[in-house]
Amino acid sequence: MKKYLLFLGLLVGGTGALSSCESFLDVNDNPNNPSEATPNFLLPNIIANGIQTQMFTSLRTPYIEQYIVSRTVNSGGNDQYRFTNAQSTNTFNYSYFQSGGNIPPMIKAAQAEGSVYYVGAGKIMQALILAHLTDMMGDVPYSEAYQGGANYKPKYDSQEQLYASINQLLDEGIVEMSKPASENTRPLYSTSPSESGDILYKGDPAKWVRLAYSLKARQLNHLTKKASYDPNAVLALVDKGFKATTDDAQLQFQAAVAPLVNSTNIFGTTRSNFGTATFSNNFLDYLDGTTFPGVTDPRFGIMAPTTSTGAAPGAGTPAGTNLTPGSTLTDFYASWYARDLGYFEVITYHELKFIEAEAAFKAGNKARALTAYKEGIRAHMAKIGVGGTFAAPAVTFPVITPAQITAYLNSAAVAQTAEQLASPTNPAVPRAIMEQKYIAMFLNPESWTDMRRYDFSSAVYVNFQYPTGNSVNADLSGNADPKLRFPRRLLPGATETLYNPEEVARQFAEAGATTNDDYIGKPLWFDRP
Amino acid sequence: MSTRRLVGNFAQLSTTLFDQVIVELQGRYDKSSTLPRPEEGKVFGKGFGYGSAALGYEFTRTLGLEQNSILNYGKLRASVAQVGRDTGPYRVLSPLTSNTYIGGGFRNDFFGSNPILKPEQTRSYEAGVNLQFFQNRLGFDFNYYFSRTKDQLIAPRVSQATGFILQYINGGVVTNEGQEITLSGTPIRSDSGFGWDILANFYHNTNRTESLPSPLTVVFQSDAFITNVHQGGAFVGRPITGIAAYDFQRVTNPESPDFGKMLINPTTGYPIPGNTFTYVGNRAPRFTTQVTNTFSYKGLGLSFLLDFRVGGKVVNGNDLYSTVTGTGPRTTERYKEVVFDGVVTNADGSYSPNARPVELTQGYYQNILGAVGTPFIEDASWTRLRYATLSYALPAALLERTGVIKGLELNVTGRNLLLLTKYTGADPETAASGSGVRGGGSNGFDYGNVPATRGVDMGLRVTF
Repeated sequence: MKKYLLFLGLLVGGTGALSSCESFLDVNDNPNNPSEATPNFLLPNIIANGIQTQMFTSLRTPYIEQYIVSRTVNSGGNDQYRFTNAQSTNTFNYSYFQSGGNIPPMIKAAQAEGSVYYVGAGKIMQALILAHLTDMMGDVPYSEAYQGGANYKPKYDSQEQLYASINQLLDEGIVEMSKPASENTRPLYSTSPSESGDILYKGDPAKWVRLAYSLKARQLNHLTKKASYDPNAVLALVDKGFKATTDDAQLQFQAAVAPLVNSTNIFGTTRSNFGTATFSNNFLDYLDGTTFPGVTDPRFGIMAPTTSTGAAPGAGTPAGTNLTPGSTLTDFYASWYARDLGYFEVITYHELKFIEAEAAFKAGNKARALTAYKEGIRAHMAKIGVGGTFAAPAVTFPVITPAQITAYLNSAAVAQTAEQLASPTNPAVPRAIMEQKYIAMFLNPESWTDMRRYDFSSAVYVNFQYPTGNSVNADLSGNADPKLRFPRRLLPGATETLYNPEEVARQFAEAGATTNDDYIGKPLWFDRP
Repeated sequence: MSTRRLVGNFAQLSTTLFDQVIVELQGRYDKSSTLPRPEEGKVFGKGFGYGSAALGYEFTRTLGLEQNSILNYGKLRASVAQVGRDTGPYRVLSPLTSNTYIGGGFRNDFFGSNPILKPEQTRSYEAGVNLQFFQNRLGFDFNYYFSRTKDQLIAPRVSQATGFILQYINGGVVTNEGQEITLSGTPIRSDSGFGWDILANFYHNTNRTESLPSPLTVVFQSDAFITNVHQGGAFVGRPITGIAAYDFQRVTNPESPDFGKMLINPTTGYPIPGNTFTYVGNRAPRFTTQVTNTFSYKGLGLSFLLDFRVGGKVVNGNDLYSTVTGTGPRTTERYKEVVFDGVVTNADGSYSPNARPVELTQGYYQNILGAVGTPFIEDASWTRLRYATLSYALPAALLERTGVIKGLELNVTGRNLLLLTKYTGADPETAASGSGVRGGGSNGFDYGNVPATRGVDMGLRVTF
């Protein structure tokens, strides 16, 4: 033992010394961004991104609905019933991360401060987001959603269960929104110091109540294939729904001035998502006098330029045709619905009128059906017939006068008697109602739901064409049952196939599908008897 | 700007007993601003302790062998260590971010917060022996290690139905076990000035993902999303350097005599691409060996390093790309008629061999072969001459006359002169997005990467 070395580190021990570190270590709250906010600063995003979810879906569904088709011959795209997981990713993820995930913290903050209208708006928005998602995809997470680190692979709820959850959320939202203003602490909408709160209805809880009832009517009316379908229950909900076009749930687009990004119309020229699309002749035939001989719809020239001839799915259109007059851009960009600073409709008064017409028709109340049907047409024409100009491309929209609306309503294009509401080939099918609803619901994903409910039947959709070309989804076109040759659901989002693969596999197993092309043809719960 | 603060308390004891036993003890207690104390309702200031103990024993001293002509040095060593690690700041309460869409205000940011994060802990055990023979002419060093990391602080991508894109969690147990052997020797050292030195390293590591945070069965390394059909992924029971890929659909019933055979679509006659990522291989080698030989004679020196790698897979993304675009060598068989070796499902659920002849169309290369990942995975074993250096130093006696220059050495080095591999791409030693990715990184993903260059350097070194 020649050398003996001992080093003892200075032990800064003792609880007294350590507790003085407390303030030194208290730096784990991010100084740059808050970790919580008052509900009025969370609700705008929930509304805007909740609705933007439906815009992303609308990049796909208008091709299924044959409002539009690809300009390319045999595109192998959506108009030929081919889809990818990536095309569903935004529909799924915007429902949760960008919008829905912010609802539980907002409701918590609102409950803590007694802002009942924010609680109500949160519940109604959750129902709206979830209803859209399940109608597009079927089973999706809800009861196990939004749990962060506690559950990274949420189980998918069945669509039947989701419909019950949506209904309950709407009922609870109605209760909150019906409370007197004296029970609500924070104003539902404020413009000072900056706009915050309810950007949908600018602080009108009565409109939220009507939105909730309208949504309840829409969801209940989805169940027309089921033995339990009760049209009178739908009519009772319609009575409490929207009263006028001013009640429409829609998002107004805004110029993309920093910090806003991509805030112009998803269908518009600036966002440039539809450069390779044109109108389908299925849609134009309703406007240009083909389906209704001798009647040119006053909306022709507003919804689509009068020079447009349309194309069939898979057939494409030759270069240089179907363009916006005086421009090299596709004619789609000349539509009222493609205005950069237009609006995006979620659910509207005119849709509710058509729901009322269909339910009254099925309830045997043909007189009510006829009245609601005509009011639906009138409301849509009046809404888009206000004129205006747009650039670029330079388009001037004509005004639709009340006299033009009356003339159209009295024309051969419109059923004049209760009997004419039905299909001439099938008295049980309200063809006239559904085809006018189809026109008035231009580009709205809800039209796909209507088509699924009627199995894309030619008794309802007389111009509908099966896509042509050798890139058509063979799993669907080869199906023995002609009713099963159409898309019935979107694929799971690409991120779900990666991070929640067991649930995705369960969806495929339950649908009895092995490939993506096969999967999209399997009807959802609402679409089955 | 972000702030992380750590208060550390150390104690260290280092002692040598009887000149032959070395003992080293270390202890540490940290408090970190980034870890929460949920039991106290605080989002900061969690304390955690860890330490290490190491023992070394020079047994040749005890035995008095220092001057022994055969074994002149021997040391045994062993250590155990525990290391704790904190996380980054602001992960307990995740901040919101601005909504840049209509309406403004705030929304959740990408990362989900976690109020119950704990420190990550790694415990490692090592044992080894170092022996020197023939008065240091031959050296042998052997080291064995085993380490186990638990409660890893990770932020995997998760289902966005959680409300977030990525989620901070503690989770998973990863083990590493390995052996390193170093042999160094001087086979020849002649009086004439000729010398030959060899240095050989053998390295073998087994990495295993023992468990992942329930219910994850795989953690994908998002920076290794290189192709549509391959990903880097850590599967339970597999190495963290795993490859996940799409495969063709196969008979999955292990009872069936056709188990594992490709399913063929009875109407088209082509195989059916699957659409789930499964584990298909490990990118890390089974073992590697490097051998450096150095010859010297007077001022002349020759040194070269041979590098051997055995095992491990590489993803040939270039092959996939050129196959899909119809320019790859596989597509030279286009329009050839083949019958795929597989089975078709009968109505009763049994299988019969596929007999349907089909053409290898570009559609097949594009949408069937190019839609799966497994055909584009290759063995990454190699033998390479990593470098060879020839140098010549002018004799000092010659330079003395200049009075200024003390040394002059010329050298030529060739790098990557020789690569022997079965890999059909450029070089299996590759990484698609650099080496910065945590975990398995993007090593072994070859997709438009620039391979290591082959080169010759010439140098002149002058000492004044």
